[in-house]
Amino acid sequence: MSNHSFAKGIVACIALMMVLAGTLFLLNHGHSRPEGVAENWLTAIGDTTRKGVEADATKRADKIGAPELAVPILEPHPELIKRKSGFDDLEVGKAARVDPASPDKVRVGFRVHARRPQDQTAEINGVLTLERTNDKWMVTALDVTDPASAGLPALPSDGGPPPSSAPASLWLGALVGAVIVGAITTALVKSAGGAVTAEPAAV
Amino acid sequence: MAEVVVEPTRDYHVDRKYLRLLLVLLVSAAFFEGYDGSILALLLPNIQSSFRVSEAVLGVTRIPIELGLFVAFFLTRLSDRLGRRPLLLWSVVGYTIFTAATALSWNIWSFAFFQFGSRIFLGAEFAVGVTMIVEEFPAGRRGRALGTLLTFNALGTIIVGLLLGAGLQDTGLGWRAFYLVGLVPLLLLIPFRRRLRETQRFVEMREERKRGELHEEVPFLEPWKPQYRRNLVLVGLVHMMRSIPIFGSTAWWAYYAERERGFTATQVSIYIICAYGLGCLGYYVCGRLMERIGRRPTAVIFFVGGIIFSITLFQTANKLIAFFALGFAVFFGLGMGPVMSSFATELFPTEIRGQAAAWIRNWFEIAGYVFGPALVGILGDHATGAIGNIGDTVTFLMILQIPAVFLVWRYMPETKGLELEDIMAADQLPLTPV
Repeated sequence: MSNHSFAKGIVACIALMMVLAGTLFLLNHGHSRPEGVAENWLTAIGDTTRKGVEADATKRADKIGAPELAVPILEPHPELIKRKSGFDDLEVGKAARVDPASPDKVRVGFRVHARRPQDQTAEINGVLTLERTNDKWMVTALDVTDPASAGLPALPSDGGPPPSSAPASLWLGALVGAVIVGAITTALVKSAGGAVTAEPAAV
Repeated sequence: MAEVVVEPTRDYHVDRKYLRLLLVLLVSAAFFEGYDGSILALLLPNIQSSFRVSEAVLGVTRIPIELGLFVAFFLTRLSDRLGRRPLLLWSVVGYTIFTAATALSWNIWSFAFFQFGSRIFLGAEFAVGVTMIVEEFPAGRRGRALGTLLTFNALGTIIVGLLLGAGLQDTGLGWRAFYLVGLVPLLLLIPFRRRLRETQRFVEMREERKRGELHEEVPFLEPWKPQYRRNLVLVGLVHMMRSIPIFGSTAWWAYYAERERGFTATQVSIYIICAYGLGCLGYYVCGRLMERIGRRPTAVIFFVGGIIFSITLFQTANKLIAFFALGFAVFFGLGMGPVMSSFATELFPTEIRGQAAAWIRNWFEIAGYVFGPALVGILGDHATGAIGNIGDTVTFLMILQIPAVFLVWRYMPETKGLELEDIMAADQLPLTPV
């Protein structure tokens, strides 16, 4: 391979990466799931007690919903939980519309293991209410209550559906994609020419 | 297919005692590659807290750090010119200095710089280590030695997990204590450095260079010459197709388990430690199996096992099934490291072996290291991703990996039981379509 061919190869790789980035952008465009927004808000809320990132976390949470909503679930004295994240882990369920006729207001069940003093954790179940304005979901309320008794789908760890899942067509697309990838890579190997393969050794 | 005529090969017999010593020295390189990579992954929140930086800044600093593995290519390729031994020794020294300096970082940017340097030397150290194993061990023991080497790579991750469990991060030094452990390779090197020898194959090649039979300088694009290109493209593509879903799944499993399957943080830790324990066994079994049944069938078995158990892992809601699926996904998926390392080294002659391995590892495989986790994160993002589900995104990428099995089965040369010179003798025959 000459330096010129190598440069062409690098340009082709960069072009391929740009096409891939553009495709990903187009594929992701227009998606906004309330379950994911609820999860991002809870993650940011958990970080508001974490040493060194309190300000950044508060800013991140505030963009999605008022941090004050989390007062019932968060340890009020971060130093008592060694200024670690407020939640050991968290999980959200599938969203359900508050009013079947209105798609812009939903509720999302959640469960967190909130850190408490003396290395203890408390399991907290709750429901977040989210409202959509200008295509943006915002957390507007938090209730400490069992999601199932509030009429919401069970959480994934209780056997409920995942917050989102791929459409059936994706699996067909994956198989077609595998065939295409196979064809391209086989063509690349063949076009590379070169070394002959050794016979399996008679050992 | 052209008949393979095997010329009587030179005796490269190296005494067993020295091979044991060599393996002991090299496993430390593999161990710290696994160890160092895991520190960053598992202690990132602590490091973030220490330097009081936002998520965005943290994300940006990851770019130069990971670029170190790419830059390692330029260091690794020097092993074909300067020799394996000096490069290994200097890589250990460089890695140790940068790792110790990491423990002294005063802000996130100094941290990123020291980790960048550490990755360069660590990447080179590991690549040269694999090359030395392939060149020094006889054909019948090469697979086992590679298996042992990579077992210690997984052990590095387990030790980080155990140290975390023991609370090393809660001591006065915090996360910095983990980096100080990185001084151990230098302590090992000091007493053993004089006993470490240059590989016999490199010594012979150096003699050939002195006699003018080979060029001193190995051009940057040498492995892309027509006689090597097919193997380079083939092995490189197989590495990349494996690394995209593998790194995507390993980077995101803990998040997936917690957020999509409701695992607690403790359950995630226990699962990871157990799975990597089984993963160690995977490396060993792979090393033995490739000697017994051959490289190609071993790779096919491990590829298929890795795909099946990874898909099961990312689709099942049952925690018991997930436990075994994770164990076997690591066993097969990561455990196939020895056979992949043998593809990346055995199929190229001594004068370009280091450089060819560097192309495969630091260009093709690192592409997967960078893009795999990014693809899963972008497509599987719960709020904005096109798929919106980490489990389904990883499954999608696993399905796209299937053609790699075909490439191995259809085109990969079999090198079982062949000394390196025999493989080259076969490869230098007139070209025949496969």
